[in-house]
Amino acid sequence: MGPKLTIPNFVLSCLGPIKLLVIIFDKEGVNIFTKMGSKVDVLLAIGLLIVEVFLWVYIGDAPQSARSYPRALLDIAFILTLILLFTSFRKKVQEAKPGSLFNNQVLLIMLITGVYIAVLNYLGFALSTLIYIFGVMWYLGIRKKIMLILVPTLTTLFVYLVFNQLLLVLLPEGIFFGG
Amino acid sequence: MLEYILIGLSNFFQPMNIIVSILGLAVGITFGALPGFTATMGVAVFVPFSFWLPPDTALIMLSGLYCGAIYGGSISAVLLGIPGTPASVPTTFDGHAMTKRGEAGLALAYVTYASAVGGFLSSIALLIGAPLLAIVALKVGPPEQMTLAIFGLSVVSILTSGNMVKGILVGVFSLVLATVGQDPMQGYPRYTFDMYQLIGGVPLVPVLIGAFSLPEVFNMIEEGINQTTIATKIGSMKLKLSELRRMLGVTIRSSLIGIGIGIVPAAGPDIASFISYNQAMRSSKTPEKFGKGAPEGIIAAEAANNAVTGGSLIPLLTLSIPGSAPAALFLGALFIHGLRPGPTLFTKNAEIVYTLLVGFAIINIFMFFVGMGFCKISSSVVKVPRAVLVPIIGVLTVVGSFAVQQSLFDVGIMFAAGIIGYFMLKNDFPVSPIALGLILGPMLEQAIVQSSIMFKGNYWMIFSRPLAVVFIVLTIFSLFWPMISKHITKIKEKPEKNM
Repeated sequence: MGPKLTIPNFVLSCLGPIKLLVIIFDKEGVNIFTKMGSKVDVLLAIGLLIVEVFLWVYIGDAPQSARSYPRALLDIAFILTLILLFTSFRKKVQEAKPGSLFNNQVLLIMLITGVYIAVLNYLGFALSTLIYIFGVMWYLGIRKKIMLILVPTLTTLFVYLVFNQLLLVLLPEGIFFGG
Repeated sequence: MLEYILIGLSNFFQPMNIIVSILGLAVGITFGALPGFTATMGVAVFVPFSFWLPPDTALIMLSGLYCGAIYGGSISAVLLGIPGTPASVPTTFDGHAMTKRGEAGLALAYVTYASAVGGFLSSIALLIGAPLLAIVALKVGPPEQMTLAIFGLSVVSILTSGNMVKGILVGVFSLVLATVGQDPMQGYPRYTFDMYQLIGGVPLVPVLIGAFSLPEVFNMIEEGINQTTIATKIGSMKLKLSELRRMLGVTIRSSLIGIGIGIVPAAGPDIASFISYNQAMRSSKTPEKFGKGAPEGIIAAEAANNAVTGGSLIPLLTLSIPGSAPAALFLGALFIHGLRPGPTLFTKNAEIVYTLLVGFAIINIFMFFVGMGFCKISSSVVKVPRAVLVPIIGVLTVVGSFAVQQSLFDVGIMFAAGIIGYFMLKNDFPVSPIALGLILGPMLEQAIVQSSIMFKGNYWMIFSRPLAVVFIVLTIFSLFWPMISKHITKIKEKPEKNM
């Protein structure tokens, strides 16, 4: 059986193109979203409208009693989104907050965490956690050898013992160690 | 009621509960003391750990975490001038000034004293107030539940956000999210997109962990990972009894402010500490000393922000309206343990609730001693680099969301919620309504259906229910609150401009 289309896989596959977009448009170290200012709100509002319409139509198959409540909520959401859309059109770009929407460092940590979650089932909890903690610490600039060794091993050991032994939660063992 | 208090007392004093409460306090204080780690995050990460404990022990652990984290936030405020949680911002003014004078130990002792007193007084208010409000809650039927849920959501959506439209939008969308899964009438699977994991609805705990802790981790990275910290000597921590007696007035008044603000839904500890600090400065005989290391300033801020903890649980336990963001997570924990806030909680689950209420008071007494001990080693704790903490929290969120149902699907949900939460944070969309929307959503739908049956479709009948009308009026008032508060500040500012 190949890898299933699970949420982690899905999120991961979405992150890739986003990162690519940021690299392409982000030539002067200024994030594209910053330049667009409150236009982000406009884009968000349009995106939300599409989602709302989709959800409204999608629930159409459901019986009357199951669909009227979500549809009523979506009606309210639709009106609110329209208000958001029109108010953000009127706002000037200068009003937007300085500071980027997606800091590249943050995006990479997100990506690493996403990869960590995705490989959890294959490498097992212990191995992937060791690598994850080590990797993030290294990436964030820790170079002391004692810390790079002790923090990942002790954390992994501690979490493993607490969950597997104390709380009897079977953490994923992975294809190398598990049966 | 007295007999329940005695039962609560005897329940609390079991070895397991005492160990768990001290452990919760220690973890909470550590979380609070680390700059960038908030009380909300502490509670969010540890909610799944409470799963394996009996309900009363679990609630005691979370109470310890909640109280400890609010208190701990002030330790780094004093030592580094960096507030550990937003509620400790006013503590930095005088606390850090005292540290610069070489009186770090004394400042920490004041923080510990005021936090414990504020927390203890609020727990007394909780012990008396919650059962009283529960009597009012007895009159709550489906129509009241409906208006109450709407009121709670509207308050949280509006007060926690600078942008009212965005706040309400998040609230409404969370309600839509809560409709995922089988509908209450016929069991039709709504918005499950053929994923069997969603038939029971969107899993609550992973969403809470993701939305309330990951955005803060990402934010921490963005703010800069390499803060330089200077080691400070703690010094003497001895408090003078005469000084404490002199400040008794400030302590009690600030605690009362905190309790009052805690009861108001969504006005959290940060608002309380600011208001109390300003109030203390205005009524002080020596306001010029504030900000330059006045112990009164520390006490005002600390007694108030810790007094919020007990106050915020009053509407939570009786009406399921949380008074602050960590309280919203507390609400989630209650639901996970099968406890539904409301009047029945005080009759059917009286033993558990009174153990919690009594435990809350004792935890605040414990906090004084655990805190004093922690302060002595605190200067080395606040030096732990963020680069170490980030991956550890990352692991805890992943393991915590996995553990609840032993499902990787939940971990994916947690991660998605975290990224969406961060995106929302960056665009001024508040996160707190998500918790409330997901928790109250199913109840709201049920209440609407029941009310429409009760009223035979004639919704005007709602005006025959006085309590429901009160909640409707409150909701309308909360909708106009941003405009009213703007107007009030305008009136206040005008004379100053003319001067």
